[in-house]
Amino acid sequence: MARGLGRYIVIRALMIIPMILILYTIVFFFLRVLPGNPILAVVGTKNIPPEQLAHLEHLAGLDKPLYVQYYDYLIKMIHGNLGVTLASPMGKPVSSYIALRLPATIELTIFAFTVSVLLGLATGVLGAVRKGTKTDTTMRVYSIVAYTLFIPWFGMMLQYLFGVKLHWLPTSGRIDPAINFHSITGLYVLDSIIQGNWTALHSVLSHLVLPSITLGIVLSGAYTRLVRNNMVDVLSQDFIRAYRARGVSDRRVLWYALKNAFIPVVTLMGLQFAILLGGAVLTETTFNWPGMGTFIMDRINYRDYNSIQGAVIVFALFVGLISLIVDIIYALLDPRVEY
Amino acid sequence: MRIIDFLIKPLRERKPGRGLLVFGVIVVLTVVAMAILAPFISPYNPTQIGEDIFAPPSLKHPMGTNNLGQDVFSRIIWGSRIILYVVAVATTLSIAIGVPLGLLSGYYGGKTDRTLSMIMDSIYSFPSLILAIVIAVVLGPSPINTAVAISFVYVPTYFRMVRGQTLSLKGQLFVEAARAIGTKSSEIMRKYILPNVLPTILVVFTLSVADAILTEAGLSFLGLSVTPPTPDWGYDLHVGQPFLLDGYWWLAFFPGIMIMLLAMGFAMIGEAINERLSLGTR
Repeated sequence: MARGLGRYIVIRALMIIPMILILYTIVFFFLRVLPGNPILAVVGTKNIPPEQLAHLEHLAGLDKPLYVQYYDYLIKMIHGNLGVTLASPMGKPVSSYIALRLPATIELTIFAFTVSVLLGLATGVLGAVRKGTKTDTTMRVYSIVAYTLFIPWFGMMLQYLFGVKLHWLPTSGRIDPAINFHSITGLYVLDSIIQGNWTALHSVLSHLVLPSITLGIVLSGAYTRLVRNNMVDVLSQDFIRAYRARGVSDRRVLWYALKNAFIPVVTLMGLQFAILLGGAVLTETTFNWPGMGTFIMDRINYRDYNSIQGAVIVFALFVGLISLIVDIIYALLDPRVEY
Repeated sequence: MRIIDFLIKPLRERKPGRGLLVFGVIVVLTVVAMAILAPFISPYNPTQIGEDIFAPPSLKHPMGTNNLGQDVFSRIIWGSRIILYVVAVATTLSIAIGVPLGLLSGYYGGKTDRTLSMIMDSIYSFPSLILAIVIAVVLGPSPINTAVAISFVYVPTYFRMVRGQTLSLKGQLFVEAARAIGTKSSEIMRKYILPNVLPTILVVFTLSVADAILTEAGLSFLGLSVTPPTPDWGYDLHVGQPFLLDGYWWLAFFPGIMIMLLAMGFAMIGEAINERLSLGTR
């Protein structure tokens, strides 16, 4: 049994590799094969001396044939090297920038993810328990409305209400710049707890509220629906009736039903994570959050293709790892899964 | 004809989910009418710069004016054209590529099918907005390029669904029978399998149109879709953001609510059709 699970995890982990390769190939193709010289795009003018252009191209490795560039970058990537930036400043390792930005996105996604699952469970269970009533319909409409909320707009409305009108919460950034704070891991919540810096923790958490609620509510809609439908199914099954017949309290019965209804929700979490990361780009832009999304947008302004490529690979790895974790949790939760 | 009947009938029947369907149809038709009638109903020229800047909503300007004195209401009306155009082109492209590929891949199977499925699954599992951003950046800002970028990320949605259905349909008796009497493969796919996949395509279509609308709005919010002064909901929302924090809420509020309503309209139609189809098979 344990050996079977180990084997399953290894095979499942190996499946991430083709996914990353395919995405690398697609992005490489789009960024390099299509017309347009990235160096000229960076410099912003065609009037630079040919020798200087050649020198810049040589520095960026763009003077080599495409298949060599493809292969070189692949080898570098395996060693964790994502190449160098093409612009402002030029020649810095892309991975050093990503190391600065990735923790901010991880922190945001963890909080948004928690908000979305908790809200989804609460609204879904409520809909199922009050099946067929007005509450059920309300939860259903909530699910659709939440799903189609446009993140920047919703975020702005929250900024306007809680930031501009009520002055309760900050509307941009990760921490009040006036606070003396030194980051170790890049995860500010963790850092401020480790250092016992409570002013910083307060500021960090209050900066997290609006972005994670924005992203969390938008993503909760999909859970509402799934949890509600699963709960309705489970609640109509014989074992629930048996519990009730034996006089088990309603709250307990609900808890047993929820445990059973939760398994498909775990699968959805994996799929939702990709949407979560896409939404994080819009959330970060709206709230001026210094994460991977704003990093991509910054680099786009400089036409820094290397950085964009590096960021996509990191995102692919991120998505791959999450779906691996979700599949392992699923295998552990559901004894029927064969591996 | 059957498909039109399929769409019209539920509107009249008193069945659960009718409210959603009616709401969705009304919203979508209103936006389509706005786009078609734009030259006649728009009170001002949407790109006309005026002296009356940051005017709050009033009878003269129902949705106020923006930082350049342009009438927000007129920009909303004309902006519906861009978003509908981009989404229509993108969806048509995705279906035109995804559906035949899914049919062929599922029907013939083999190595090509496995490779194609792996590529499609990789694209599908990656955040679609981020991939669309990369493609849109490379192609440059224009409505048609945005459509191409969006269509690329939605091909796997159609491919996976059609392939899965084809796989299960091709083992069924009526397909086997057709094969036994010597029907050509192309005809089996066209006349036996495709008609049975159509209802599911319709559901996936309405749901993914809602997604495509939000993706289009996302790309233009990030400044990757149109160039000023073209009226566009996502871009106008982006322009309105800094002024929102100064209290000029109408610049951002109206474009955003329109994006949401349009996406919601399609999502509700999809939800209602989905429900109806699953009721029919139960």
